[in-house]
Amino acid sequence: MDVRDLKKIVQIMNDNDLAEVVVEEEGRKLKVRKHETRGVEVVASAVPAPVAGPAPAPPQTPATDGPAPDDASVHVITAPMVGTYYSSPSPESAAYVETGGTVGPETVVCILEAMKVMNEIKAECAGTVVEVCVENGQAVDYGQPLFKVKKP
Amino acid sequence: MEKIQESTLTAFLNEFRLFPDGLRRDIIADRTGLTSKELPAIREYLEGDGFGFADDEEGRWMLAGKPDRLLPYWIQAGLRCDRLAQQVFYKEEVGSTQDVAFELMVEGRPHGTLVVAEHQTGGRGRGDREWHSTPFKGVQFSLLLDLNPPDTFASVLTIAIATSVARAIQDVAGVPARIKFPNDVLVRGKKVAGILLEVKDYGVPRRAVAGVGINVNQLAVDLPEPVREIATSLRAERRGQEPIGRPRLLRYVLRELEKWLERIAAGEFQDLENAWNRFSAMEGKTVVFRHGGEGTVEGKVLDASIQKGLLLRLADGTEKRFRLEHLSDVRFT
Repeated sequence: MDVRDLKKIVQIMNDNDLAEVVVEEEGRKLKVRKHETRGVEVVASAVPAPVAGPAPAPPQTPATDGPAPDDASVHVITAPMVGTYYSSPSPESAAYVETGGTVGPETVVCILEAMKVMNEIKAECAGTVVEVCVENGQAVDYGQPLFKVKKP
Repeated sequence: MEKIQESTLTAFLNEFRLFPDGLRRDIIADRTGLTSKELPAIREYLEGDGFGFADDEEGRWMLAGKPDRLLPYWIQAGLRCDRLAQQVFYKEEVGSTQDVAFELMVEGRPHGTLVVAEHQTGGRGRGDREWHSTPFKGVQFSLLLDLNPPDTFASVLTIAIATSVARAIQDVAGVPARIKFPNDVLVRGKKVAGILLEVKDYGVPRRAVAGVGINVNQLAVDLPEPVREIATSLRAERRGQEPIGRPRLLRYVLRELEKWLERIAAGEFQDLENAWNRFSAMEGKTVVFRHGGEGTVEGKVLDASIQKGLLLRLADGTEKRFRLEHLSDVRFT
């Protein structure tokens, strides 16, 4: 893509009164956006586009004691966000779930706290908890295994 | 009196915001699409809600007085937002705007739905701590927010909201604002605003309810004795102790927040990070926090980044990064 292409894009935007255009080709992504006051802004990036939110932690190397990938009977509940893991709603109360307990998709299994935001995490699967992979108060990263649940 | 549509009231009031020197009736009618005959009833309705109008010799109407109330149609007049506060729910008194907002979430109300209250009898802080409210003096609201993109971490919303509130306080009240990591805003070392973000639904899209409480027009005597030591209001910190237009402050917060949410949705963090850094001023300070795994950590802040976290120089001289989401009980010494 060169300057002429860019001019064409801006022309298309002007002709059609578009505020933003995203062009993807050959693993590159180009975003052109018109600001009322600041004119045209061009953002080029490699595809896939960067994920918003604080960047997820680099992919976790699978835990050595993790289930074998072909073990379809075990579901791993992973952390949907970065935060601190709490097993119960308050220090005095009992844990949401323990090894041997059963869960359903809507069962709250833990809280992940991040910057004072308390996020209730749901099992989103059904079965028996066979392992709790983290300790109360532990810092967890995006995608980190929290529980292993054996499907019924 | 016959109920008049909120959108009509907003459109009518908008004209007076655009033309503070007043407008002839036929021009108002022309510009709003209302008929000249409807206008006196609208004016009368607004006078009933506390607005004042004046007439000049040439028959122009002028807006001469505004009520100090967070009326939805008045918030929306002059609101420069396309997504936030398109639906506004107003409560003179409510237990907690957060609870109302959660009910609205269950009802399926859209992103940006706003709940405002003149008085909260059960305003919540974090961990159900009480947020003290004086009727018609503060700005308390809750917003329904979709996390966009869906993998956005709620923590980035806290940063965006804190930055928006600090900016609004500084620009509208003219007092210096500081963000106290992660979710308080201080003026001269005392708390004026708190943010409470709650995520309860991991459906698609993920939705959060963001609650904000700002002490605006309270005088020091309005705050209970123990609170006075650690909290203040914008008015109390202002030279001359002039009251502040609460609707204007609220609109300003919403406008700022909408801007940051757009940037977050586009994956752009740099401007937000810069603005947040200016208000939080952590760099160079010594911080102590609890970290799940490392225990208590103390170090000097070398850099604060939304995506990369805090870079600290530790006591042993080494440098280490910690994700913001992993910090608990943060104190600066």
